[in-house]
Amino acid sequence: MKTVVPLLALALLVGSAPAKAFPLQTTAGVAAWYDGDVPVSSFRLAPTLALDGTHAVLVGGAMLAGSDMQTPYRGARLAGAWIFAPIERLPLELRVSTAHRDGPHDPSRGLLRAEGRLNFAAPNLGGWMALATERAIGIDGHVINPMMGFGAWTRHHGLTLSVDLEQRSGLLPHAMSAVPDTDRTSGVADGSQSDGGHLLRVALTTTRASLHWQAARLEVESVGGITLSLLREPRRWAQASAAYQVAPDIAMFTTFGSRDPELYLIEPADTPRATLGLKLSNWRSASLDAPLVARAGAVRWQARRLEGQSWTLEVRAPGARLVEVTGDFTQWEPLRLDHSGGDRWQTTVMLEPGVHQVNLRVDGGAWMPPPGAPTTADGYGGTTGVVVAE
Amino acid sequence: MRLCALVVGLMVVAAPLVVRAETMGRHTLDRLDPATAEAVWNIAETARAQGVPFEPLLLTALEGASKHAPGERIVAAVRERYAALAAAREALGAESTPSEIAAGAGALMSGVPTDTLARLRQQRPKGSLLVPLVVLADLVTRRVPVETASSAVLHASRIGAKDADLLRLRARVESDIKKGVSPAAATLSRLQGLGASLPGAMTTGGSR
Repeated sequence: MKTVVPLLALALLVGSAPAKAFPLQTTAGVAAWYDGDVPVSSFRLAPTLALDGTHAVLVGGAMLAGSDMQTPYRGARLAGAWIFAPIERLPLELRVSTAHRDGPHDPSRGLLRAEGRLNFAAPNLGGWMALATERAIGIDGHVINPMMGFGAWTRHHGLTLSVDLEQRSGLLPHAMSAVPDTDRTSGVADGSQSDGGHLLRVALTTTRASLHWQAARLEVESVGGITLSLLREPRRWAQASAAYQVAPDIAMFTTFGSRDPELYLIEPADTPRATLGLKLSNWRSASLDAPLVARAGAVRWQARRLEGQSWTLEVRAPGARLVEVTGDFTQWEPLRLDHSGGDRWQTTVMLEPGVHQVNLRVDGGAWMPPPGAPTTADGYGGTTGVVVAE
Repeated sequence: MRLCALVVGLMVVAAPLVVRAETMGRHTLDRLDPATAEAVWNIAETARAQGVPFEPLLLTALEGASKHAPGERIVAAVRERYAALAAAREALGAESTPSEIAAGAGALMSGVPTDTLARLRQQRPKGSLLVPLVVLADLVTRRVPVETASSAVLHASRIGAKDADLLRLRARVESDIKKGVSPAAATLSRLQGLGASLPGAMTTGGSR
């Protein structure tokens, strides 16, 4: 019952968004990594189903992993986010995620997290603050709720820089058999409980900075931070990753380093590792790390005549999931562009000779004049872009 | 037989007009509430009777509907567009193309004075004014003072700047403004650069 209700709520949240906003995509990955000083042959298969819309994302996936150093284990996760804006520029984002892991020699455990984020979102910068609550499944003990988080981001020409501070649970591979009670006077939620004598559930406070860049077929991310816990020394971590789209639905990716310990629940990664894999999807990432409001923006625009009155409209929008155009030539109805790979979107329209008004919208955000296009007053207190078709 | 040929010929010639009228007819306002649609259509009919392009009026109404503007706001915007179209037609001349008149109306609604449109037409009595009008409206929308923007486009046209030169000027001004240069300074600076790059600019424009 405890798990069914949140899952139903999650399904309800996602189901309330427009159906056309949900292109169905799948991601599958196979990876091998080198672990610490010991070469480890290992595999990871992670089929993921993503419903990726303008105002909501639902990511569900399973993970099968094993190596000659570790016992095989399996994991699953389901995460969703829904964003709505009762006040302009102050969108609210609700996130629910759950993760589970077990294996032949692995105790079953899971975690449910619900989070509300209040965003401030301008076109190229924003910030957020969050309150979250977590509940462990199959693990005794608790952490102090609610947990908090703050963050800010800025984006320019496909480059997104974000910094944040966040509290969340993690399982640390700790050999303690007896764990002190929660230090409630520290101000840091840090309750814990032994789990099989090897893993501890602890509250972690992580300060993180990330740089993400996407252009054409290449996507590069660098993320690093420091994670604090009362149970052990502060831990610095960093990971660099890159993905290159070799075909519309296939991307090669590589990572090096380790991520913050929040991922320990289903994927232990205490030591730096290198991975190489293949992603079978044109979806850029099955991650909910980036704020929905910070995901995409149009950086380049071009209107090119094909022949006669037939014109191609091309938009470069790194990280976009949906790009739409509207204008007098569509009688001001939104027209969805086709994703032509990487950050490229395009459509073909008929433009009679003359001046045409045009606006763009990325990921369901505000209608804006295309970047670099001439503008004019629209008669409703705003501006629109202009295309001259001669 | 000749009559048949004449009828067929007339049908061929008139077909695009009929299709166009069908495309932008009364039914295109079905997205509006009946009262708003009626008010907009009356304004459009008045415009058509006066030889003022009426399609931009219908499109202005549809734009308002897509922006969820209330009916009275849509009617006000259509009236404003109609007034701008009529003023642009008068300033640019009745022989101007509907596209030029629509672009001129956009410039007027951005804050450009009608006098500037008339002077542009005097400078280019035959050539298309689409790009100069678009550039003019863009500069004013980007907060270049109206006098500066008008002088810049008039001067650029006077010294022989082609449409591509004007579009390049606009793009560079936009880039400068994004870098923090004041709109007026960016326009004047880029206009100087344009003048220096055009052959004969000093003899034509510099003497004035």
